[in-house]
Parts: sequence; structure tokens; C-alpha cells
Amino acid sequence: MKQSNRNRLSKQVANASHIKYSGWFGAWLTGSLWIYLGLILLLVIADVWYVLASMGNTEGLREMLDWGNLWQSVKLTFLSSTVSAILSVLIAVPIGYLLSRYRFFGKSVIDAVLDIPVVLPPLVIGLSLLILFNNFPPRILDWGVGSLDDIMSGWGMRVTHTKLAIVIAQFTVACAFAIRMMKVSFDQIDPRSEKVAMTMGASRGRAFFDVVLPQSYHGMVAAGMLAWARSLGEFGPILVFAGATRGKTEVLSTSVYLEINTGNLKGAVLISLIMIALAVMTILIVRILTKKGAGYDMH
Amino acid sequence: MKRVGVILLGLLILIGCLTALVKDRIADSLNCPGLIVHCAAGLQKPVEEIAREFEKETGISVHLNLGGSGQLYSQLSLVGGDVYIPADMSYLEKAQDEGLIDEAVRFSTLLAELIVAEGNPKKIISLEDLARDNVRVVIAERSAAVGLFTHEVIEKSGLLGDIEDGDLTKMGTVNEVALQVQLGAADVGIVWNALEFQFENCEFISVPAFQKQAKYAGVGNLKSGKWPEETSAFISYLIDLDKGGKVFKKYGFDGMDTITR
Repeated sequence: MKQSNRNRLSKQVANASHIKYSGWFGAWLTGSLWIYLGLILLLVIADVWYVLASMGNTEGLREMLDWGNLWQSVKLTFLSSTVSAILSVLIAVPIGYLLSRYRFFGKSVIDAVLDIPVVLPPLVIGLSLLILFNNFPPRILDWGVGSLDDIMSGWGMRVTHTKLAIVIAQFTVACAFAIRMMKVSFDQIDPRSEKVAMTMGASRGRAFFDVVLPQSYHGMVAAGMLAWARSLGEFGPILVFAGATRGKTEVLSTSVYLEINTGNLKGAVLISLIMIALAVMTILIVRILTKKGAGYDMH
Repeated sequence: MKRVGVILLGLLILIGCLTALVKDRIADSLNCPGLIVHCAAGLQKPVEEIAREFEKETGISVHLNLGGSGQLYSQLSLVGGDVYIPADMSYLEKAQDEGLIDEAVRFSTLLAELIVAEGNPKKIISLEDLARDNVRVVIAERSAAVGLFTHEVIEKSGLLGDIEDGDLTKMGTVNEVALQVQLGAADVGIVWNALEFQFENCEFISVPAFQKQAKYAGVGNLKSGKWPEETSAFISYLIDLDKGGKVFKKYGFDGMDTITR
């Protein structure tokens, strides 16, 4: 019988043993963990300390920020990140499967192109989006249709400087990460399981939806979480493409930027802490809801 | 054996790159002083050129940190530096009050103007036009010197409500505002007129409300600086009419001679 991927995974988990702190190997493993974990924890502790030291009393906390405004920003951040993450997974599943199972002409080139959003500096993505929507087709050609955004405006859906711009900016980057994750996830699923289903009369599509997709469930959750996390932290492209308008296109990363710019460092750090708390909480909740092992490195 | 080779190769690359990075840093801090200059984004072009010339003449290296005047203020109050060049004297006065800088000198006038696409397709000629329905407006946040000024003037003119209700977007620095207009993402922006020399395919329109009050760019030396002599040498160079002054003039900054004398 074929050994399905999930069986293999649970076997691995069962084999996980308690760490022995003796010996060079254990020291190497735990040492590496503590170096990086320590860095992250120190960052958070330094932030908390900074806010607490300069706060004094709870009255100070209330005055540190415009809380109503921050709530708007939190809402917009969560809504846009969630939309971007779901869109990313919807697109990443077919592309990931395509890359994992099929060979076709120019595959390595396409593979490299799909990585462009990962390697490009964020600001370049923002600038490129701005040019695409406002200078394409080039004005010099004068086709009489105006820019892409003029056409979109005609349909009542202007993109630049709107909330839609935030989602597009987030999606552009997040989807590339989701695709990588989905491809790895499909790579780990034994192609024989689909072949078996097909020999029993299922079409290729049927085999995918009935056999492969259920097995890639954890991969989808992981891809969605990664896309969500990327969207939450995205800043550069949003700043250029959607602007930093208070209460309108302000996401949490923009809020931090605006507070830093106005010299309110305590406020900026406080928002950062809120962001950290919300992100950790969300990731934990999703992990609990999707049960064990829905980490980024699950397979 | 092959595996060990790969690991060793990786470690070698790591050490090689690290030493290259660190060596640079050590050379900087030991031999020749490196000045950290916090410079307003609107003054980027001339100050960059002046810094390069100053480096060539004196051998003192200059690291420019660019951003909105308010953003720079936050940074320098947190990490220090040597020189602060905001696009408005008020930042220097505040820094002086808080004991961050020693001396502040103003060296150039800055005048705000409207920036529109070439040919002014939306026929924007006055501040009132910014409140029109079909006009996409972009201005800088209050944290940039030009944004602070823009908000003040618009508020005084009583147009702020109308403009904010319309199609308004805010950006972090003056250059980002101009970029939006240049790329056609907005119809009109409010920027320093000196940008005229950097942004092509744009027209600049002067508005009486802006002309009434000019702003002054200034420079100050930070108390936290490690190189006081080199810092004052740089500031003297920057405001010297035959050196920094020439560059500022080339980039369209006026009134330097009348101020520094």
C-alpha cells in the first residue's frame, strides 16, 4: 500500500524525542534556537521597556495615541490582509500544482519570473504598480483610452490611492510566497495517489479535488498564513501606491510610519507592540483551529 | 567528505563577506571621521552634490540620511548624528529648545508652488481649484516641512474641509508628492519650487497664498556629534556662497546671498 504523506508526518511527530542537553549535537541545536529566539525576545522586551519607561501612568497611555484612529487602522489592516491572503491561496493552489506536476516549455523561466516579487525591493514594486496603473498604456502612444486607472475609474473602481490599492500591493508580494509554499506542499504529496484514482476512472480534475487537495489542506493553511503575515507587515508598496492618508489608506505599518514622522516614538513603539500581539494571537488561533502542525515548515 | 566541503565553503563565504563589511566600518570610524547628515528630502539633490564635493576636497566622508524633516527629527533624537538640515527653521528651533543642537543657521528660502502635469490638463491656477470635485490632490503629511506649511496655508484659506472631503492623498516627503503628479497618479500637488529642476514633464504654478510667506531651510550641528571640527567645516562649506551656495543656485534655490550675509 502507498504510504500517504500524512502517515509519514505523524510518524515523524511520534519519533520526536525530548531534547537532551548534553553533547555537542544537543548544544548546537538548542544554542542556535536560543541565539535567534533571544534576538526576537530582546527586540520585544526593548520595545516594552521603552514604552513603560516613558509612560508613567495609564493616563499617559491614553494620550499616547489617537485610539479611534488606530482602531480604523487595525480594521483596515485585518480586512485587507485577509482578503489578500485568501486571494493569494486561490491563485497559488493551481499555480503550485502546475509547477509541481507538469513539465512544459519555458518552465524554468516562468519559475524565475514568479519569484520577482520576492526578490524586488518593496519600493520598486510600489513604483511599478503606480506606473502600471497611471502610465500604461504609455501616454505618448495616445490611444485615447487613458491609463489603466482611467479605465478602472470609468467602471467606478479607481485603484491608485484607494483601499483597493492596498490589497493589490499586498497581493502582489504575498501571492509569490503562497505559490512557493503550495508547490512544496504538492511536491511532498506522492503523485501515485492521483494515478491510482485515475486508474479507477477519475478524471485528472476529479483526482485533484478528491485526492490531492484534501492532503494539501495543511499546506493551504500554511500558505495562507504566510501570505497573511506578509500582507500585515507590508509597507513600502502601500506607501507609494496607496499613500499614507490618515483614516483613509492607513494600515498599521503606515500608522507606525506616521507616528515616527511626527516624532511620537512612544506611540510608534506602542503600535508595533499591538501589531506583534495581534499577529501572534492570530497565528496561534489559526494553528489551534487547524489542529496540529500547521506551521510554515509543516512537511 | 563532499558535505563537509559544502559547509566549509559556506562558512568561508560568510567570513569573507563579514570581514569585507566590518573592515569598511572600522576604517570609517578609525582613520577618517564620517559625518552623519540628516537632510530633508526636498534638499536631497544639492546637498548630495555638495557632500560629494566636500568629501573630495577634505577627505572627510559624509553619510546622508534622507527623509521628511519630522522623520529625521525622530531619528536624530534616538540615534544622534552630526548635522541636521530640515526644510524649515521651526524644526531647528525645536531641536535647540530640547538641547539637541548647538547652533542653527538659515541658509536658503523655500517657496511652495503647485505642481501639475505638463500642459496643465485640469486647468488648475489657484488654491480654490484644489477643492474641485474632479481634481485629485496630493500633499505631504504634516511631518514633512512642506506638509506642515501646506496644512497651515490651506487651513487659513478655509479650504481644508473641502479639500479633505474630496480626492486627497497624503505622502511622506515632498519628492513622493511630486512623483505622484509626474506619474499621473494625481492632478495637482504642493511642493517646493526648487523641485522644478528635478522633475520633468511637470509645470509649476505659483500661488499668492504661498508667496506671502516663504520658509527657510536651515542647518544645525548636533551636540551628540563625535566630530565637532569636521562638522563645522562641513556647515561652513555648505553655506559658503562660492561652494555650497553655487550648487544650491544651480538647483534653483534662491535668496541664499541675502540670507547668509
